Amino acid sequence: MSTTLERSRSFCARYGLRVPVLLAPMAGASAPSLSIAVANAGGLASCGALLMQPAEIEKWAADLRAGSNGPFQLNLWVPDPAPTRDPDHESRVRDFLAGWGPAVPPEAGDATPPDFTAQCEALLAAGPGAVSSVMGLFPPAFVARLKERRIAWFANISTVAEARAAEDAGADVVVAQGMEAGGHRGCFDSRTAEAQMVGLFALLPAVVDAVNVPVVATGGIADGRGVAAALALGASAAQVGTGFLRCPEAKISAAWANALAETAPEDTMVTRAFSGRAGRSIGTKFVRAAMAEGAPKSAPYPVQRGLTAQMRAAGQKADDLQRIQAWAGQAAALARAEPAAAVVQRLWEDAQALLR
Amino acid sequence: MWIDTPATRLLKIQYPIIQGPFGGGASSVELAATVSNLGGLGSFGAQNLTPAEIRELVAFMRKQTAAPFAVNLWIDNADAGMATFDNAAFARHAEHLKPVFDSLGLEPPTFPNQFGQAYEEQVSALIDAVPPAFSFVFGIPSSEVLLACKKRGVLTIGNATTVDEAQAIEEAGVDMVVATGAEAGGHRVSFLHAADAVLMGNFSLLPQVRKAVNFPVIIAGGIANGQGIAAALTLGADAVQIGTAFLACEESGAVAPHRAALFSDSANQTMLTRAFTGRLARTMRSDFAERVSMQQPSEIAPYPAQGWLVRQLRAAAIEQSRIDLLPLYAGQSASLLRHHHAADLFHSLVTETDEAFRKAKARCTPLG
Repeated sequence: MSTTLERSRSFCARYGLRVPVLLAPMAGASAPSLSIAVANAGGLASCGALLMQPAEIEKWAADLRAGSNGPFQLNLWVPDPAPTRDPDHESRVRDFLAGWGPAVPPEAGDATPPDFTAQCEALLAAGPGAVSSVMGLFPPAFVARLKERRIAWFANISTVAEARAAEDAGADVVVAQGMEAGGHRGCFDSRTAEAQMVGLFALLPAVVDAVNVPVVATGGIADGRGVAAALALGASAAQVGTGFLRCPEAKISAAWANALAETAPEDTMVTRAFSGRAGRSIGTKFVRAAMAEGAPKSAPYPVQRGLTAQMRAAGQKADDLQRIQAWAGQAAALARAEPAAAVVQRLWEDAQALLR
Repeated sequence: MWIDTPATRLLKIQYPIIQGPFGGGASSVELAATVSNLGGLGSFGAQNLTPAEIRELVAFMRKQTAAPFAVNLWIDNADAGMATFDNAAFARHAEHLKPVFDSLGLEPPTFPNQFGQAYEEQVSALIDAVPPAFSFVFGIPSSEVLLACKKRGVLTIGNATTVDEAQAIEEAGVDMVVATGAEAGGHRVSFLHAADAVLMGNFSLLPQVRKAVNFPVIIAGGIANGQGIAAALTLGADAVQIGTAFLACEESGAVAPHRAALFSDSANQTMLTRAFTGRLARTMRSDFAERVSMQQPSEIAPYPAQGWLVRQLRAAAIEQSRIDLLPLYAGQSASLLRHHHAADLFHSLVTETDEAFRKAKARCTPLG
């Protein structure tokens, strides 16, 4: 049996880290500047590549490498089959959204994410230290190619059953996502995202018991106490998302960054209103209205994402918190407005002090 | 040393380990006294007891242990809907449940004299009995009650599901707070918010409560072994409250099929439902609860009427092995359960926590 620190030291040695802290991949909030700062501070950089075309993935990796020699992970969503469309229902959603932004044309729901297979090729070409999956498992053929190239596969999971499935499919590391996490819930079956909300305190030791691969803890961790507690529960490292969003290098909108500081844990909500898949966001006026009784149910992913695109863009332009996609985990109020290197350093120094 | 914390000093207990109080008859003097005698804080959920029973309980507990223990009450123990819950409302809700009564071969229930106990009478009996500690959920006692506790040396323990609830408990002058994460089994005890709107995981809740208040913080939810205790204390807790792992012990008042179910694979699937009592609680997944949960909220009777109605099914459900009709309270850590006896569990918790801290503190080359 290894000690708590030995376990995380061996994880760091394997993945070229000095600090067992991973930046969570956050599609839409993956500025290379944030990753460069985290990597140079000894943590694992990351890019949520869901919305990126192959050329953009290539550019992101080049930008990162220009700023740091540190390792990084590239993250992709494993896509579901295209949803069944319901034009009548979409029309009700469009009417509702027109109250929050510009009128939404019917074809807005046709927008689709970039081609997954092409993205996978771009990931292989970029040659990161790790790729990570969320919303499912990578296809076996892609896993085989990752193994050939010695690219590690980190699989995001949110239940014990998903952790076992990920290990069986060849994942090198499982990232256990507690219900506290901000942004999209990574449940393999999107229908169960709200029903299967397991707190990290319960999920983490159960996953550590269930699999033999290293476990990274994520969800609600934004200070050294959380990192130390995660390692004490058997994690090899902690992954932090919202805790980095107030760093200047994250370059998110001012309204969002400022609101995080004021977000009590009870102020976040799990909603499908932005994309059609469940994610934890600040309970903004739009989110509350969209979830109120009588509001039309969100369209499925990715239709809803397409339908809300104009409102989100308008909100972004006006820096209006109430209309932007303001993801936040339940530890948002612990996020600090300071350089990412200082965040990484504080997370690990405080954690070590508690573990000694 | 991990055992010396502001909570253990204030409670005058040896280990920062509290056995959670259980309602619905699942508490037992044997369990609570065992935990107290081993140096933890045993608790008894008295929410369903009459005032006379509360006096007897405290006297009996004192015979079984010289160590501190806690008695728990529900402050708000009737939903607003009870004010208008008349015969007609009763008949309507009994009708919803008629197929279930039929399936067990039971006659439909008739309107009872009372659905639950009156809190005011319970709390005055409790104060008269002077237990070492009074823990409470679903609110904060009046300043008169808190003052009476202070005068008589009864320590008070509030329960919070959010940062602002913890602050309100501190401001009222309560001695300490239990921060109850969404992982916890049993009822969600929110009182400033709708319970289902404030489901917070302990990884987020605890550090933020810790930061916001200056009195001892006890963590409850998702902890079932020493590794969890070590992690909770590391995260900033002054003590841990463990429910499900003690509920699973033979000394608890839980019925045998409930205890057995907690050790089965199905305990890994929990749900939050109002089906069993009218208030939101985490139980093992149940077909009955899923059917009821799909109904409109107005089709579930207010607390405590819904609880009374479903309780009428209990004896027949146990007899006929229809355990989905029982509220099988369970937290999200059921997969960690190992022990069937409270003393074994308690000794393991202590040695595992020692071990976890020993491992954490073991010297090795620092990173970074």
